[in-house]
Amino acid sequence: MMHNTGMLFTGLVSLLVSTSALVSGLFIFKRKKKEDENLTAYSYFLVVTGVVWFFVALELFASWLGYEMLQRVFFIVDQFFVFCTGPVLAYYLTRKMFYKRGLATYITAVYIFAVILAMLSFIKYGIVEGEVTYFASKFQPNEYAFAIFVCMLAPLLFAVVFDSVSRVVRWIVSKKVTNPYSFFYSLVIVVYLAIGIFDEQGLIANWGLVFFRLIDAAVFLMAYLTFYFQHLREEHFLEDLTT
Amino acid sequence: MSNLFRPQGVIFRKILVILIFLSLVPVAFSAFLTISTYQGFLVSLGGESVFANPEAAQLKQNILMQIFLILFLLVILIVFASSLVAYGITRPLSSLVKGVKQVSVGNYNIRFRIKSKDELGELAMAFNEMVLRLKEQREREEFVGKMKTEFISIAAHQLRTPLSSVKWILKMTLNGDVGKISTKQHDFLSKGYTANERMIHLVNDLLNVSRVEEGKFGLKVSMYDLDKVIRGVVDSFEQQLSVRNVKLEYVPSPTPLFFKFDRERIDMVLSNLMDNAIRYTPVGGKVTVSVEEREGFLGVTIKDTGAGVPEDQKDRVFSKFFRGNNVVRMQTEGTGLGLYLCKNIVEKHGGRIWFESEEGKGSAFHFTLPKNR
Repeated sequence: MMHNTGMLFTGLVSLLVSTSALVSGLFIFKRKKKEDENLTAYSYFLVVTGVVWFFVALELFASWLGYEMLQRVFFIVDQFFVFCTGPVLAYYLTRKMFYKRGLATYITAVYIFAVILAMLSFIKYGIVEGEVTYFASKFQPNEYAFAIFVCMLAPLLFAVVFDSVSRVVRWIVSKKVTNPYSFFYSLVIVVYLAIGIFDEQGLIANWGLVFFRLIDAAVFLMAYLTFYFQHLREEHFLEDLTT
Repeated sequence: MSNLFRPQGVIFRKILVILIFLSLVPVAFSAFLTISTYQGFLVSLGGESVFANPEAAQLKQNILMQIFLILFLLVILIVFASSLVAYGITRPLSSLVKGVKQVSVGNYNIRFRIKSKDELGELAMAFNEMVLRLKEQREREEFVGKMKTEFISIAAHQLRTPLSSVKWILKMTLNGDVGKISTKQHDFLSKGYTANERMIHLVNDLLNVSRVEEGKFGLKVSMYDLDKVIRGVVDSFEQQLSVRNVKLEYVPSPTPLFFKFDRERIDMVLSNLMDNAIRYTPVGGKVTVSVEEREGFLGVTIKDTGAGVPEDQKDRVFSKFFRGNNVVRMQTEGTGLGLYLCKNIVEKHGGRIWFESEEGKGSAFHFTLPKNR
């Protein structure tokens, strides 16, 4: 398999996505005292996403090196974290949209239950071996796990799109932008969920897979830039001794 | 979104272009060489017909796609790195620009907080040191200025009493109250009287300036008719106008001009502006005084066909002791304090004073006063 540089490349791109998501998440997490609680929840989502992509990268490297057993282990660990993004994201979105901690906790509990179901389906039905291409390795979740995945993420995708659209409409109506950066938070989630669903299903297999992962990387890097710029904007380089 | 990327501006574009050239070009070049080597290797193994094999053709296509994807990845990384570097540089710089602007309007309490040990840190240290020195210098100047003002105030007060005595002695002598004087003596005494009047005028101006600087230049506002005040000032210049053969036209406002202002001070403003207009207008020239009301303000304009203000000195017209080079050459009298006082009086009333002028063609001084105080 080591002649297959495409898989190595996909692994490196996945590692880049993982690094950018982790760095963005840790960047927000480190400043959590200054940020609101919603954003801290968002940082958890980024960190879990980073872990997902880290295991995706490990799986691809294992596949490139020809360690199938290791690849299988990494795939299952990766799937656990993929499903874990559901509860984290549900908590963040519920808090953001409804401003209610109690409701967020209940919905998160439902999502955790879905994660347990998905993991049980892995135990019972195992994983599916798909087509190996120049750029992608062969494992995919079973159909039950995938159905749970779609059921978990589709409402979240709908919610985040609805939230973004209503936010844009509010901006247009009131012509008052309170936090233009928050639009990027939603964009990151939309891209992650949209690409994630296709990726998980194995619909994109060859070079398209790398292309969409590159888009993912671009979005996470942009997210990092957004947080970094916001951080710099809030940093006061000038000090007025009179005030 | 526009706010997010705006400050990077030119630096961002420069860094972006440099990074693209430094990264994309060599990568594209080496990609081309790699493909050629790969292709050459495959041909050497299986001959020219090797690409008829679907697997080899697929491999070739995959490698090509991989190259394009690598280039795409590079573009993403370059844009990211350029944004990061450019913003990291421009953000402190734009803060520095803000700081410099603050210093330029007299805020010397601004400090730049960058602790990095690079050029920006060095710039921040130099900026802070500069501001500190400017502040020390400003404090020194303020101290010296205060001492100067106090000295002027004391000196002017001390001078006013003997000058008034001299004035009345000369006046009485000129009027023949202390005995008859010859025509020659009368001429000499008249010259002395005029010189003394000039001195009293200067002393009064100096006292007013020191009051302005000490913040004691208060206003006593009451309801007056501005039209009446202007007519009074215009009448007081009748003799000067006829001596200099200067025509004066007064264009009054069609509406009544009753409002609150300090009559004595506005009288002083009008007198100063009229005096300048007549003094610097050549024989046979014309001075026009007009009043108009607009948007809650009354605007007065005093226009002349006189010497005008040299272009390079326009920004100093309202500063203390300023007299234009052209009027100094004309050997006319003046303390250079009148317009400084005018500006202070008008601004204290909540109005504005400004002028338009062309050297050799004349000037138009405008000032406004709010109708409701």
